[in-house]
Amino acid sequence: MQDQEGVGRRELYVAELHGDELSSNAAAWPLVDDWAQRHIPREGDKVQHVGPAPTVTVEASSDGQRLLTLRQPDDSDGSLLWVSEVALGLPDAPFLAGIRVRLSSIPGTAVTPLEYEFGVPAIVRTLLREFTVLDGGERTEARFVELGSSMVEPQVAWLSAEERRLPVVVVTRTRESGSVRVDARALARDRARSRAVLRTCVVDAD
Amino acid sequence: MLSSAHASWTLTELIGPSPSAWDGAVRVYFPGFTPQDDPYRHRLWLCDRVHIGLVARLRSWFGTLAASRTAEHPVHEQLRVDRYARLEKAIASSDTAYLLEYMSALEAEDERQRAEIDELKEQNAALTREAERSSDELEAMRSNFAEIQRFMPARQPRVPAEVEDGPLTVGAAIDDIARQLNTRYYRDRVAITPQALDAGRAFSSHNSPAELLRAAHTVMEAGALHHDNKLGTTPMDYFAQRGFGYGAQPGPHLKVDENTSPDQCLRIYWEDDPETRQWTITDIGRHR
Repeated sequence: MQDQEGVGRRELYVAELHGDELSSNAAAWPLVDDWAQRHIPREGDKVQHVGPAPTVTVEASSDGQRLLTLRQPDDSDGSLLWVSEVALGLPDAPFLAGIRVRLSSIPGTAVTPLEYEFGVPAIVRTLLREFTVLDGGERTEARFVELGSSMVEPQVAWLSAEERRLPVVVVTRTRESGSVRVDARALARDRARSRAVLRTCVVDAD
Repeated sequence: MLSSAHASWTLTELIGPSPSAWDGAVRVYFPGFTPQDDPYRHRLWLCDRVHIGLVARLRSWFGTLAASRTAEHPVHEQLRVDRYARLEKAIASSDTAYLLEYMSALEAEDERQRAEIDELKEQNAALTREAERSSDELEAMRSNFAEIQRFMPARQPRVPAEVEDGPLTVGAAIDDIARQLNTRYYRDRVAITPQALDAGRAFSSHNSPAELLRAAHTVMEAGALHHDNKLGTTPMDYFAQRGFGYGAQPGPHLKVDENTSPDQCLRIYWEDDPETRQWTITDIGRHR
């Protein structure tokens, strides 16, 4: 059963990843477990964090699905606890992962402003690299995609695809200078930070 | 106006101008998009509204959406079912240790839920304050705008950038019409005959080339909407809303000037192909 995970949870990241038919949750499990275990200090390791030691708990349901929860104090602020949860579906079914990252205050600590740096979780980058993760039949990646004219038509078909679940941000170039008014790279990176892996397209990349 | 950039043209051709994006704009297309959607459903930031803060704004917005719209992973439901089955077993076998463990877990969950509710209350209060501040700002802006509008000259007919320099002539206006109808957006939607272009150029005595151009643009836009089956009203109402008259006999035509001398009485005539839904402008000139 779940143990105490701190109070005042702030959910920073939520993503649901669907793999293709060739993927499986059983194949994903070693990657997830390896990622979590890397956060647990081994004997002789220099402990970098303050506060309680990181812990990993794994719950398996009767049908073989798994929920891994990694709890670790913030490297620089011992009053903050990071809780990362990775859920995997039925072992032989196509890969279905749910990832949630929360930031909590450890009970009894002083009230201080919440300051943190947060990037795309490493486990999400790993899973996107190792598996073909799909949204509406298109591969999901944590980066932006440049589209030339010939690529627009299939993208329009995908925009209208009933099975698409994620928003798409289209950035266009200005008519006069051909520049973009927003940093698409930062947008793709920041969107990935912001609780969902989404897709950014830049059109007019002729 | 449409951008000259190639891919934006393609996007606009495929989905139509309302839901498209071009010229530095940024648009979010939500799942379930269709070209017939209300364009406001898929948020658009025009070029002059795109700024550095947009990235942070999108980040916050998508974050809220993702948190509220991402469904619970099925493992959670299965774990609850398993725990409940164990609970039933524990009750049957008087396994008090498990009962106590179960109760502790419920209490911990209860505490987490209360903390989450408190945080949501704080967020709600902050958003309410933000909404009130925005509402005050909007009211002040409306008031300023109304004040400025009082001192602004009457609106002039819109003239494309290409003909803004120097006085517009009828010839330049006809050139602009021909150029626009040759763009990809209009090419399959609205056509014009060479005779109509010649007739338009011959009507050089018309004293308001800008109004001639505005009238032609209005017909072109109506034709494109008709082609896409998006006119949404009768031609008569469409043109009346834009300050023009409409006649259906002997063929559809736009009435630009009603009470004027014959050499200023401008009409634009066109034919409608019911099969292709394409309008072909056949005459720009005097009332006939």
